[in-house]
Amino acid sequence: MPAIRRRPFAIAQTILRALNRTSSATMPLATIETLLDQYELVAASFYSYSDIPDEKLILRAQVGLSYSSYESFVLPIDSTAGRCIDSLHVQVIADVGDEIDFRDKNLIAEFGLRTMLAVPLTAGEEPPNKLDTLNSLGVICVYPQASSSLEQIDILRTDLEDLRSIIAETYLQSIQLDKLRLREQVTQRAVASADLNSFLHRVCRLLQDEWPYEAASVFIHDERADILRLGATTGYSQKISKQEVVISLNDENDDVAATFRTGVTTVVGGNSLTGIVSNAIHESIAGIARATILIPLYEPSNAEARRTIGVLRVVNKLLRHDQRIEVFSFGWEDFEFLTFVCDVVGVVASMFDRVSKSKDDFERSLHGVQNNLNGVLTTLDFLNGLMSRRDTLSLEKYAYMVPTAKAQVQALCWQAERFSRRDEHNMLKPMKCDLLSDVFAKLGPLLRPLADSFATPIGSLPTFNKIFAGCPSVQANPDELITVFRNLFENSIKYSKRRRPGLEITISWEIADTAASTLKVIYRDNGIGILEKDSGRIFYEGFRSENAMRRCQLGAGLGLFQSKEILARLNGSIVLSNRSTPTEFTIIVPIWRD
Amino acid sequence: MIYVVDEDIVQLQALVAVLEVIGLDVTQIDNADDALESLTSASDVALVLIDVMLGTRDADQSTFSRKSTQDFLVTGLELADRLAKSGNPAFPSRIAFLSMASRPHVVSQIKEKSKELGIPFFDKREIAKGVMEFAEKIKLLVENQAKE
Repeated sequence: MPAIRRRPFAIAQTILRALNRTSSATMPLATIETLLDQYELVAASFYSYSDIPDEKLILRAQVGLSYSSYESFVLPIDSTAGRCIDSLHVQVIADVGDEIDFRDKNLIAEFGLRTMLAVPLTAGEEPPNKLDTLNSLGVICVYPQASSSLEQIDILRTDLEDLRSIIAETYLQSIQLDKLRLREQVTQRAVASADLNSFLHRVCRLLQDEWPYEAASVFIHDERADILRLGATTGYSQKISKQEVVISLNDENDDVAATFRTGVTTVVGGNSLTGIVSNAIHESIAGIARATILIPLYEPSNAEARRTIGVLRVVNKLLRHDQRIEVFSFGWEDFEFLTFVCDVVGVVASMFDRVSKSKDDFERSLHGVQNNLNGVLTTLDFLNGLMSRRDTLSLEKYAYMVPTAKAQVQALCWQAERFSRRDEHNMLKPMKCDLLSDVFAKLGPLLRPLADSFATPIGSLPTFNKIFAGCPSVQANPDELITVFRNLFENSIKYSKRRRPGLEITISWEIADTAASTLKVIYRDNGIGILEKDSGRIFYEGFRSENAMRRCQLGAGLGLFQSKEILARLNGSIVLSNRSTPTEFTIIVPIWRD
Repeated sequence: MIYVVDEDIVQLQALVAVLEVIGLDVTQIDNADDALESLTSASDVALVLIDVMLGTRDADQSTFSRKSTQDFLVTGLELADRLAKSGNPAFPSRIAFLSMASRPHVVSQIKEKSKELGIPFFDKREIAKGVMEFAEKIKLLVENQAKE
């Protein structure tokens, strides 16, 4: 050892200078190399602490010894070094040869180890004697020369006592630097990606290639089908179709579903000494899946309750020293780092999701338009064929197809209008509006042709003259109210049961409040109804419930969303007051005041 | 009887009309569950035209799972499989696939299943190009099936 003098500040400076160049992966080595150099030690090792899911120490770096001499890179918590974790001060072990719990005894003889100083690294509140507020980060073990005097060892101990909080803070800061680096990497990948899945794939590759994880997968919640889908993975050894990987949220045995439901980070497996494998692991990797961490992905929100949008699953942490690789569980650094990964990915994923929903919405509508155009074309081709054959009998029989085709084209025009006039609705001013003459007189004649175009048998439709006699005028733009009720009629027609007694729609109204300031209109139909699980989402933009989706291509999940938007602007509302038999909506509109 | 299994009743109205005009009886079925129930024991099958992207009566309660049909993308392929195994002697020979799929991985699955079951695959776009000609094609197929 060098001359007897204390110089913790100079050493602290060296360590802090190194922080600029190190990540959490290299900071441990940089630290103990500095100590080895400054104090001319025989050896030093840096362990980080992990309690996920059980307590242990993980060898991050060593100098002066040999990795191949270690039984394992994971040290049990009841080892000599492990017992020092809870200590508040640097521990001096006079002779490691006398320690029963010193596991790798071959190191003692091979490298001439005698005295060991164990430096617990903790982060937390001062004063240091409040143990329950301290978080264990790890422990550094230093081995002075066998020839060191007691005085030298004591000086070393005092220096290390002063240095340990700086080292701990530096270690914590290295994680923050990792996060900054990761954010830049994720941003680059977001910019390079055309869609959500390609972005997620790039993130999984990033975690695998540039961070020490063996495999990663991201599962995304499909709101429409209420399932989790595999968005991207690097873990499957065989090529699989992502469509094959579908996880039901109710699956009690699936860890991904459980993490999504609870919103709690989960670790499965993780005992590297016994190699526990979770049955739920799907990735097939070169080694055995020893540990998996599952972290929920959230949509960014200022609200306390955030919406979960998916799950990140990372499999196996790899510890590589020289040519030796060990697979083991995750430490507090991984927990913190991967939670940050999810925060960043959640933001980007939400943005992509919004864009792709609009794109999906447009594509679905376009598909609907294409289908219906094909239908109209086929109808015209058919009728033309009949005319060419001069088949007047068939022409007469199938003449009903002409108004049907006309109604289909009209429906297509409405669909196109929906896209083109979205913003214009914002500018339409409310005015005095009579529901009978301004709204239902115009909508009424369109109902039967529309029903015919969807092959929907009619049972009974409202008689608007009778219903709205005496109804007060409302404060609304007539075109907007036509849109609101047209959407309801269209849904009723599209999603009717298509069997006897046919579609039945009833409408009634009443003054909603004692001040007579609002009108309540109750709309009912006997259609297929709305599933309980969907009833909270039917007013979302682009949402179409599963049983509705399977019925008809024409529709983009905009009708109820649009109606809700319009009524909100009018200081009114629309709610689903009964979801089935009958399906009932209650619409509130302000009454016109002179 | 020609069975047309397709959830889009309206789009195929004209095709159904043409088939009726040229003397064929047609029944439309709009979901996979009803199709499986009706056709398993049907004794009057001349031909079943199955749309590949086909829905179910109720997604949550159908015997066709979301997983096996790739989220109802290829329900028609599973329906054809089940009919082929149902014991009804009409199947699989009297099945034909109908689809407007354009995604390569879906088209390749349809072609594979067609080859496996030895049944034809028709592109729906052909209907719009010439519904009368398409109907004649179907009629010819039905007549050939009847001879076998």
